Amino acid sequence: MTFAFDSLEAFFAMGKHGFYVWLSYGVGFAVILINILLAKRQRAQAFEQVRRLARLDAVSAGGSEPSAQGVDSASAARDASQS
Amino acid sequence: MTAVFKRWFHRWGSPKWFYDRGRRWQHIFTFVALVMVPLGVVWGLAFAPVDYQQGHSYRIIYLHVPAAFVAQSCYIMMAVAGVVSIVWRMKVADVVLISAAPIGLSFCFIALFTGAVWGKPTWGTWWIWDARLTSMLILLFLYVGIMALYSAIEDLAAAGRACALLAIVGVVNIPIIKYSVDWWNTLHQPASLKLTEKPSMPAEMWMPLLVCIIGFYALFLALVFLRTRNEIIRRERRTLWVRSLVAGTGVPDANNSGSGAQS
Repeated sequence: MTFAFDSLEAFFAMGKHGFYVWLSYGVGFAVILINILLAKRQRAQAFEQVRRLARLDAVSAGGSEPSAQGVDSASAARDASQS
Repeated sequence: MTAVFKRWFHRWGSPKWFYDRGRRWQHIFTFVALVMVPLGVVWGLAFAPVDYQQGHSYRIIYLHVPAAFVAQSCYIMMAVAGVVSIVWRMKVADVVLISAAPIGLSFCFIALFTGAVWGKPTWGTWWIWDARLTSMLILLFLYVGIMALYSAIEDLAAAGRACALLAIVGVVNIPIIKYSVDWWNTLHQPASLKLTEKPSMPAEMWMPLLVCIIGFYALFLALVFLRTRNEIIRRERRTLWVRSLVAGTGVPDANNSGSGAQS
């Protein structure tokens, strides 16, 4: 297996087709990267949703932190409407 | 044999089982993708020989063909999930179906975009209403349609059924994509790799392509597992196992997805 180009410059130039080849790979891998990042954000959001529910349960069970209750029940209502 | 399959099928239909066991598969596919995609892409871009007709522009094939393969396979997988969802009312099948849609959409977009960029130096045009290109564009619209339908219906069970039906009906487009280059003789070249025939290109060209195809399939499957497991967490958030899973992990670590799952 040998390098198919005479020089590194020739590799980047891709004959006369450097623009097309690098545009394809640039956009292609950008789309893949966005996919991975969105999936990871989705994961963090799902975990946060569960944690918010757990906090709400802790507040309603213990009756503590009354100041936070308004915020939590509002978020719980939003949460319930999504399901 | 059928008993073994039934048991396997039943187990993977359980959200908790899918979440726990899917973790290992997700990691295996992630590993395969991390090895095969860079290997295949570097091999194809730098070491495969130049094409005597198309010059170096043909190197787009190492992204274009794997993306097109995955885009079509993803749709078939969603249609199968749709059948499972409708016939056996399996919740996990709904989750798989809707989790795969944005991934399939991405790969379909990559196939169309790289095809257009490849077409410019090769055919002299970015776009033409060729049968292959048109049927791939319809596939893109089907993905968008399924995602739009899902977000338009509030009730999860109803949304799942509607998306399953659309996925099943739309699968008619897949053979049209596959045979379009044989039925209508237009600009798009016929398949370079076929399961039943010798490849129409030399081994130095198709071997990196094969590596890329395997790598992109692995990447796709890793993403399907990740997204499906995320959605399972979201849907099962009121269950005890999800509560204890999330409580056990502390700060969510996206890289080491839910180590508490094993405990």
